[in-house]
Amino acid sequence: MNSISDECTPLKHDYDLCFNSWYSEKFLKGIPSTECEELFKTYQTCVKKALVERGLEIPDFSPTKEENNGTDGQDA
Amino acid sequence: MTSPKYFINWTTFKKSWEDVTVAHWLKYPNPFSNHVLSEECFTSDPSRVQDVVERRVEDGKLCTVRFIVKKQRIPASLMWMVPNRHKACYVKETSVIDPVNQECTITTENLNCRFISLVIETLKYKGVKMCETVMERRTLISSKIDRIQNYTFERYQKNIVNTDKGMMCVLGLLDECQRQGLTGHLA
Repeated sequence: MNSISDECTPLKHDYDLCFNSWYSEKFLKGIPSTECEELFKTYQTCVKKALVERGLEIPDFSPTKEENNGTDGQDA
Repeated sequence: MTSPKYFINWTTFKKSWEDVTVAHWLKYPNPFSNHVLSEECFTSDPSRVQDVVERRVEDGKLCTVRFIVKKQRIPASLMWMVPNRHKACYVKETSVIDPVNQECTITTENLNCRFISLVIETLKYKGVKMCETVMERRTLISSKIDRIQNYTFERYQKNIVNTDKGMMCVLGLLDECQRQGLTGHLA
């Protein structure tokens, strides 16, 4: 999978690699770790710039709302 | 105004909840995501572009928003009608993964192309046994035009068969994938 911007794709791949390992080895086991944060910040800076350049709105982050939606499913 | 259509089903994966959530991050591309390439945008499976827009751990839950770009699936003969900003399909995927309660909720919705139809799908994965995870799928499909809504609904029902096969394939639960050596991800 690629990033929306070719420039960000290598940063995304580096981050994804870190994330996948962190997810299985740390997160699911309940071990606190911030090992991918730096890679994430670099990737995020790139991708947010790319989205703005393309005139794309960054989707809202609203986990609570989404959780509630999940209960009855359809009122989003 | 046409009333929205709702879809609900349940699928059981003979795998641990942990494996199923790992497969969520790894499921594209898979051999079944290519089968739906010529279908319409919002219900088709294969994502070419996926970006993480937000991610954080909150009260032990992993909250993620991904921005996914898919190919527009409108038949080529009708593409001239589609405004430029709808030539590709943009999808927002929000997920909350709670390892303590073994619950994972993933909601996807199309951000553009809504003048054609809106599809909001919520998948809930719940670990029920050591090696058994149930997925509940609830989907709303809404369009102003009855015919388009029915068409989208029918296509959706066909496409999710491939979506689920793709998941099974990544999980190593499908004989045909094992025979072809396509199950690598979680092995």
